[in-house]
Amino acid sequence: MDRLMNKSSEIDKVWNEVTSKISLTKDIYLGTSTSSSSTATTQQQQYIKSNRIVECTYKTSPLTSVISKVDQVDIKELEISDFLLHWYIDNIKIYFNNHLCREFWEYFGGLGKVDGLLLKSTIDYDDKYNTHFINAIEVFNKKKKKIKKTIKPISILNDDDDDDEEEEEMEEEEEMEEEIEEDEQHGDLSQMERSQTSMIEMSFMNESFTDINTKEIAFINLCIKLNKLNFIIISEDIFTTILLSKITENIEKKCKDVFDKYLLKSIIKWADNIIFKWLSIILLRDGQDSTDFRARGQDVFEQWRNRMEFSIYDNFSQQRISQLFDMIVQFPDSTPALEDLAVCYQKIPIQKSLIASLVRQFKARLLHPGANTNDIITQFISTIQAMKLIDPTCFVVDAVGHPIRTYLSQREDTIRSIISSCTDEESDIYADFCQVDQDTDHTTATKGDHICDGDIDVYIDDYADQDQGQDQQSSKTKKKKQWQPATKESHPTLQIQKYKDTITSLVNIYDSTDLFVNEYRLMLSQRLYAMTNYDDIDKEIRNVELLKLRFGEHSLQSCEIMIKDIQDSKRLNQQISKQFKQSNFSSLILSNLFWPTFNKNEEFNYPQNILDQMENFNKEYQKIKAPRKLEYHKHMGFVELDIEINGNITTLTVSPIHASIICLFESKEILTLEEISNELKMKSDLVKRKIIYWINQQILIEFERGVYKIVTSDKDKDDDDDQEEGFGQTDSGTTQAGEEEDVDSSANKEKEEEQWNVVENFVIGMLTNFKSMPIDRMHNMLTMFNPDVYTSSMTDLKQFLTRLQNQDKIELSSGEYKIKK
Amino acid sequence: MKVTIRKWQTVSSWHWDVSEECCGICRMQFDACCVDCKMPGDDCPPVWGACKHAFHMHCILKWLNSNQQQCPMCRSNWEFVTTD
Repeated sequence: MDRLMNKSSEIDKVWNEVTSKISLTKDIYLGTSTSSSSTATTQQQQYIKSNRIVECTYKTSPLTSVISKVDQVDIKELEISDFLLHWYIDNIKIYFNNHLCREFWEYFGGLGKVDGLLLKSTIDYDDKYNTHFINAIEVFNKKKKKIKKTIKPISILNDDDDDDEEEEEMEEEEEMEEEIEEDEQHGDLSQMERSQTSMIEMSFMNESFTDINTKEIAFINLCIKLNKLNFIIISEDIFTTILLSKITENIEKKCKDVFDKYLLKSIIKWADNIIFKWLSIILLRDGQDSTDFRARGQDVFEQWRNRMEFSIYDNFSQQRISQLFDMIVQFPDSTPALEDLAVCYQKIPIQKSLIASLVRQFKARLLHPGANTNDIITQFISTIQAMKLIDPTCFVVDAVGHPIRTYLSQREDTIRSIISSCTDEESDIYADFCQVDQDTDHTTATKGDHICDGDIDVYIDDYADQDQGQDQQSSKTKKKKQWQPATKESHPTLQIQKYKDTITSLVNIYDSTDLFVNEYRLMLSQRLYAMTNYDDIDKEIRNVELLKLRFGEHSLQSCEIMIKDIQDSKRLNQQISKQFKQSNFSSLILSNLFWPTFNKNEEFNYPQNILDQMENFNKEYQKIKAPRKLEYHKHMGFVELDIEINGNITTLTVSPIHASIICLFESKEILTLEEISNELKMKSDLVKRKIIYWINQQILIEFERGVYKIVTSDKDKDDDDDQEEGFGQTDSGTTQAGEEEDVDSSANKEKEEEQWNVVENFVIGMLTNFKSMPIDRMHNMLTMFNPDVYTSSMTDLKQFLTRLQNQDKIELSSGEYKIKK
Repeated sequence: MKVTIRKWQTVSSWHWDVSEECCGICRMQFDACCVDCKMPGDDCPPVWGACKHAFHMHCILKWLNSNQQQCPMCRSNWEFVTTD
């Protein structure tokens, strides 16, 4: 209590000081003005003149204006004026923030009457402010009668009409004081408490009080005063901060996570109805009829309005950009939001921030190892479509898509995902894939750099057409002079071409289409190998035809040949099987140059009866298609077979190598590893690897090391594994896959082994020639002379040499290797 | 145990039974087709001359049509040899 009292008396003291100082300056001012002229007109001029000073100086900085004034008066005044000015600004700020702003906000946020102006309450009936306002009105109405008696007519404050600014300024402060005090009065009527509070404590005022009318009038009066003084200009940053915070708040509240509605229009409408109304009250109601004032007010209003509008677009687009990633994820449901953003894109320069922000979001949320390639591709496609909405010239698409493209091109499974989604009838891309623009020329669409040349040529040709009739030489030089290299941005056709449709943009991830065609060939070959039902081939034919439209006839020639091979094989197989009355043997006859290279695998033989059939088939083929012969790729193909054990029939589809093994057991129940490998002419370790499949299928069991027998009883089954009965076709996929991996890794191992054999020979050769060598020299020699085979590091070599040492082939003495004798 | 093979599908590739790998005229492999053809195999077969030299049929016909009647390899008179 004491503290408050002290403070208030302190402030009173300062205040008195300030007033006296101000009146001093006023005197000086008035003195100069009266000395120059005593007529009313000159006073008017003086007034306007000084007004101008204030206006232009306040625009730059309030402080400098004070200085400039004080310069004419007294240098000591500076401190006081400075203090005064800050005090003034602070007060306005506090007053706005704590009193007017909030309630007025509530007032204008909802429906209501502002000085005879009916605000249409079309905006957002569900707006929170609305209900707040209604509550406020109710509270107010209840309290109104009680309060009414105590309200002093505020309009009294409006009576003064002094031409001197300094005076006004002072008065203004006084008014403020009074207003504030008045508010306090309404807040709590006790005189006791009132005396305890001081004008500076107004920020602690009771906020729950909602006497809107009083405050409105007070506020409008204040605005009028401010306007008269041109002080509205220095209050600009206060108003701007308040309005901007309101705009940001409103945009954030309305737009956050809402992508499926057009919001820009409603926000502009909201601004028109609320922000600009508010602004017009502040700026245009100057209470004077002077046209000069009105015009100036109008000017300022327009200026502010434009600035605010810009801020609205800016805020809105920033909000949208910050959630652009989510919008793209939800595309096409987020189309309204994107179109709103497109409007902003046209109005204000957001291109750079949009690109930067989106690229940042992509890097953080999409382009990391955790993301599925398919998801990235989907997002990439959505991005292209979404960005096309915003910028039809595709410049943004290109800038934003670039990091995704670069990232995708580094992923190994990208092409595969693209191709499989292209050919998967259920995916969205498939529809795009089927929709080929017949008019476009494929060569330009697929070869980016050629487009550029082509277009520039067109440009020059056009130019030449214009110059027709003129001297050829002069037109040429003119052309040369006027020609300018096309910038990236000024060449939109290039980008548009690149993102013409989904497939083109996907294909453009890579520099050439060959990669795609090759990958497609591989996938097609795998599908064709596994094809049991030839009816499916129509689908493949269709796909190839579609691809042909896109990539050109030539690049898909081998795919066509592949399909033709399959069709021919079908016909031939039918023809030959008629001859032999055998239906279970067939062969795909391929034109081997046009299929992906058949990887060479381990040699092995089929069971004898199959070999016989093969031979017959071969003979028959040679008869029909002489002079041609067939070469079998024994590890390829598949076998469908039934295995019957004790009346239980299991149907399986297996590779020929598995089938060959199991066929041997038909004649003999127990076979050793050696017997199998001899019979099938295959390496025993391969047999071992392949036989695991049958053990997993619980058809065979290794009952002794290297000896296998058929599982004939349940007892055997139990011994074998705790595996449930559910073997059969369902399992085959997984076990086979597991085994295939096994094969791959073993193939790698073998390759490595081969490499080391070469290295060993080379090492032995070196050591024979040089007698003894240190390891680093050996390493250098190997790297130099066997760059293809030798890719290991020195540590690998060291390990290898140690192995040779253990095998007693070489020895190490004093850091140099020698051949052991 | 009884194993019934329902279907045994093998994969094979065809080759022309020619001693050389490439056609002497177009330098394309016989298993591929000549430069003017698109489909290998029946559409673009090799032919043999009496001199045992083989060329794509289309290639040698083009050669013969240009009023050269010798084998392009050995300059002996060209005669078609029909196989089988």
